[in-house]
Amino acid sequence: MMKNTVNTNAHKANIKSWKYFFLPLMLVGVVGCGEVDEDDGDIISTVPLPTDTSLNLYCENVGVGAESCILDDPANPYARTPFTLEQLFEELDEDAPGPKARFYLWGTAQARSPQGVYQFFTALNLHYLYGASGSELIREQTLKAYRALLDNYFDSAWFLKVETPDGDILFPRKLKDAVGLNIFDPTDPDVLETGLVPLFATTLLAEQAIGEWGYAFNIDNKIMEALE
Amino acid sequence: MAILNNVASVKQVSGIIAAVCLFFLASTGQAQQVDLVTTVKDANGWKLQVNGNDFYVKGVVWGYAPPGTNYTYSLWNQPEDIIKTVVDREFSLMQANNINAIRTFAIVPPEWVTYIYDNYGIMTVVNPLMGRYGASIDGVWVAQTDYSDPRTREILKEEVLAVVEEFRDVRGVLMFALGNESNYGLSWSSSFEIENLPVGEQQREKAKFLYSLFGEVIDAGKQIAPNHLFTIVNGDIQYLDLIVENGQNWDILGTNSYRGISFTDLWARVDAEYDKPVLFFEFGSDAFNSRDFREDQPAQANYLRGMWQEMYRKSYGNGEEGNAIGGFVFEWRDEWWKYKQTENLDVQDTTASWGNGGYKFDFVEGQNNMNEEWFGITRIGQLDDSGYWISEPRMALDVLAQIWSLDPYQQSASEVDQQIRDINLDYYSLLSEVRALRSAQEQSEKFRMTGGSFKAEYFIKGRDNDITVSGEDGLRFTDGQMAFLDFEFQPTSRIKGEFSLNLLANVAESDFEFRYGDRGLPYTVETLENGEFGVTRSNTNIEDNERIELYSFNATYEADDYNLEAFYHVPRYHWMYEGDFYGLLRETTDLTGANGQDIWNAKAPYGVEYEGKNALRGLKVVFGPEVYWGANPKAIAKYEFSTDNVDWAVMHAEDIAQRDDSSSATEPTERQTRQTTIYAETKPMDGMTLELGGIIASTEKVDDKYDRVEGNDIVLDEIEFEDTLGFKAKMTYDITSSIEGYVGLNYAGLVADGGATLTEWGTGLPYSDLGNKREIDGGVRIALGDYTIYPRFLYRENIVDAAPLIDPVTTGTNLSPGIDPRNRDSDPFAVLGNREAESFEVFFTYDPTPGTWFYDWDADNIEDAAFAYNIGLTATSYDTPTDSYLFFFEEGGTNAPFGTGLEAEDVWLLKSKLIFNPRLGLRIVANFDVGKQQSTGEPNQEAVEFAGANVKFVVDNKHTYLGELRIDDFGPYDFQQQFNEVYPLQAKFEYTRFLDQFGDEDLSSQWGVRALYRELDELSGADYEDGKNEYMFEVQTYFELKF
Repeated sequence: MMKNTVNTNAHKANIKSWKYFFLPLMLVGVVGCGEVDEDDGDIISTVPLPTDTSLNLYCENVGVGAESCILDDPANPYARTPFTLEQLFEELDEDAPGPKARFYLWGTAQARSPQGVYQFFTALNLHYLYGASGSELIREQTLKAYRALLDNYFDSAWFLKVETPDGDILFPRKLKDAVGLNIFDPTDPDVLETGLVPLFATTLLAEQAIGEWGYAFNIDNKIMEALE
Repeated sequence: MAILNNVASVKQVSGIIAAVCLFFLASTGQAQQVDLVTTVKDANGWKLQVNGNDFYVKGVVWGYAPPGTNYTYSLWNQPEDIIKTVVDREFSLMQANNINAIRTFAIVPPEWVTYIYDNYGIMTVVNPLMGRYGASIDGVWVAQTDYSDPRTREILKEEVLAVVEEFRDVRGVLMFALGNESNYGLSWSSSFEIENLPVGEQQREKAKFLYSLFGEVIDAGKQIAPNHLFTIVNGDIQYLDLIVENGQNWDILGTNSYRGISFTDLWARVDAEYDKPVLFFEFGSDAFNSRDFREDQPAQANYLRGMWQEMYRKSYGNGEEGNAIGGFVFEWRDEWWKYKQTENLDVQDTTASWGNGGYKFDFVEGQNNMNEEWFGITRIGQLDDSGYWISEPRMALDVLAQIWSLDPYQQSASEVDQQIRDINLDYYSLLSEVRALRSAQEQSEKFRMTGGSFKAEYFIKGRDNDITVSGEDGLRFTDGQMAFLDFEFQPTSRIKGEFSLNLLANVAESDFEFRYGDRGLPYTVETLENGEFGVTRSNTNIEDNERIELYSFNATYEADDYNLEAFYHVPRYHWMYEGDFYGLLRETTDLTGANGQDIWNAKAPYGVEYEGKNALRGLKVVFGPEVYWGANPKAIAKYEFSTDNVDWAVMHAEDIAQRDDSSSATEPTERQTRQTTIYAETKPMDGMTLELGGIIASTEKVDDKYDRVEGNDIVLDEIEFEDTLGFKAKMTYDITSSIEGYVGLNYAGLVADGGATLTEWGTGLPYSDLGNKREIDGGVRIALGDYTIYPRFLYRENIVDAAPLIDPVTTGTNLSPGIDPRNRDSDPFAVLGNREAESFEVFFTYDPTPGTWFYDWDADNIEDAAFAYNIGLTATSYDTPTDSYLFFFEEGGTNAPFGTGLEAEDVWLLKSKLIFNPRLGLRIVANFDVGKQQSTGEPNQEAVEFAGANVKFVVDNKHTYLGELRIDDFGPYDFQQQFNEVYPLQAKFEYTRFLDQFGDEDLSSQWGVRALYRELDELSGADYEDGKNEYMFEVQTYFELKF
């Protein structure tokens, strides 16, 4: 009798043990609602690059200094694009269809890794965008971006590559001086990039603005200096 | 009437046995040395006699565990000169105080039983514990002994009888006693029928198995040693009816009794129901008043006086029950490991761990008053020059010495009673205070320096290129000096603590090792200034940085309702055995190891812990800047409680900020986060444990964006609340008494990151704390005698795979934005250690003494088998690549990604440990490993195939010899595997000479020499110098004085 009892109970226990085994599995199934479905999310395999000249500023200081809101701007096609320095300069910048796309490109680079070169090209493309749109808002943003270079990366340099029969030669240029020319006289032959429109009606206004920032630009030797 | 008949029978049988034994003794040379111990009874009561002389047992429970050790310490494994020193010091003090017998938990070797008896006249009870604290059943260590299991009963019986055989002819044995209040340890999971009974009846059914086994074993023992007495050590007189039923052949009722100052009805009940003499194997009082929170020597002495007064009165010839034959006071000296058993071993805890209303001097209803670490009638004093921790008498010993000088058989009850009453407690109280004052003069109670160390070292260093170019002049030399000073403080009875200061003089700079004290190495600060011609750089040399620092600090405050502990760089344990299923609070115990914190001058754990008591029992809160190594500043709260048969724990961890520096050299910091978990554990049926847990983690990442690849598409998605959820279950099942299996399931959403996984038995399965996984693991541990085979597996999939590198491409006015491997700074999650894995391992272990667990953290020091070893293989297939790991970029003060991830790879590791104890005083520990492993960060490198071995000899606790060889392996530091720094050959030889008797690397003064050698190639980092150095070496000599 005892033996039968034991066997019967053992059988019950066995069933119970399977219940306890499957309980976690069932719960896993319930929690499995958190699984990622292949249809979740938005496909971003190809995104259109902006070719227009109207720009909505995603935040007050977009493209200025270390402000990184551009990475959250849904209009920014480069926000999640990985790129190396080489790809940035030699592929994506060259292939971008216009200044608005380039602004997003360089602004993205600046937001990810703030530095003088990225700040300069962000400001430069805002400058082009102002030229194309005539928007006062963009002009002001351009000036903010130039000023950010002076304030934060005053000693940053850029290298001009000159091709010669003996090979490429690199000439260093201080970006602060390039900013000075772009603001004072974008038609000067020494500008880094051509095709820019003036940001001020007169050089006097430009000088006044730069002076208010705490800098002075010597139009003769084309050097920007910080005021004591 | 029946009782009277039994008494007559006992007398007759005792007389016959005595006659036979005397004849036997007279006829054999060896056995003549053994004393005849008997019990006799007449109308006046019971007596114990040795060789026919009355012997009232005036005993103590004796054990010797130095501060810093616990139950794993065995005096009898120490060198003979240490044993002799301790025995002579301890037993001469006992003899001087009229003690005539001891009981011990660890069996005293036969030669020392005789030595103690011959030299001090003190007899020993041989007390096999018979599975009380677990048993090795066919090689499996079973923590809860199942006395109903036939195989268990057979093994326990064999073990006890082997002890009886060993001791039956040993001079100095008083008697054999089995177990230790084993009736309180009937907690094994039993058969279905028993488990369905009410709790009280369950225990009773189990007790029947226990007492029937006692009966069987004693019957068999008496066949082997008929001239010895046998008894058990019962917990009070619980199950007295079962004792009567099974114990008619037992000579004595042995019991541990803690009823307070009186044993109340114990004498009368035993006299009426069992009619055997009563011998207390434990009784006594602690010397700590938990109500007033102070040592209370008078209360302990007073209680012990009262107990002995009653014991004498209840002895032979006083007209009362007459069944008291003596007892063993619990205990001779304090034991500082008793409260938490594995923690605070060098501190005498003042936490009361159980309540007993019989001790009215400090009892408060609803609160604990029994302080396990304060039961000694002597307390642990200082360490003397011979390596002996002195026993300092308490007032109780002074009083008991007077009581033990009395002979209750030679004096009348009234005389004895009067003399005990005449003991001047005030005098002895004053004496104890004078003694305490003298001790306090030697060591200030409120603040004192407890010790320290001084270390001097001298290194000779050489590199291939320097020696090739300059010969002997290419050798370089460096020296260093360092000191530690240790202090204790106790400004009030409730506040105490300790701290340690480190002082540097010169710092020896090693080419091989990062070392504690490197903070003081000279370094150069580069300053940048803008000038007329651009930036100018200037260097400033810092030569005397941080010469003094606080090395460690610990302080506790014990209130009535809570304990508070402040900790700074002292070892702390995880909470995974107390409900932390997800390992949110990690263990921080590796402070001084080769990869420990000290080499980086890290100072974790650092924080404060609150532990509730009484109404708030179960609540723990810990918070601080770094509560475990690498933690962000955070707070963790845990509450444990029980309902019916389920134990619950709820936890929440909240980061307060992200740390701004690496916890080591290149370990990345982690983003600020939070986790909440719930845990339940139940035992739904015989032998089964079910653990369930849930987690909500990283809710701050909800709405964060991430990319993934679906087929040919790149998809932009967002973290949703479901991605913060996880669920985990583990079922452990005793398939048979020697086979245990487990299976675990772990689902964790994309950002449901937990903490550490509890890994046991040396597993190398690739568990991960990160989310984004569906995981199942399991194993079956099979014990075959002294062998254990343990195959285990782990299978894991990711919910979202690692992101590949796809370059962006512009086509006209369209951009294919590409994707790159994620990292945990820029993305809400990344596939790293949680990558897909198919892992299998099998461990084979031979350990004939599983009581000292082969996988214990200090098994190298405590494993006591003549020979034990293991060999294990872990093989893992990683079928997919990882995302990008991060490292901490010190110059930038921020994390940086490696950029790409690790490739898919198959890795494996075969390792083995062998421990030999061929003779007392010689220990050999050898480790071997061979395998193929990947970097833990640096991508684009082949997996490394390596081999290594080390062997250590410890001779007579005075000399250690260590040799190590590693071929094609990563360097010893974590960052070297992180950055794939590999050396063709690494070799080390070390000799250490201990200058005292401790033979302990941490405690002993010592000198030594260590030689290090490496061969280098292009994978070996900067030391290779593009081929200039193909080898480097260093010889370190050191002298360290501990005081």
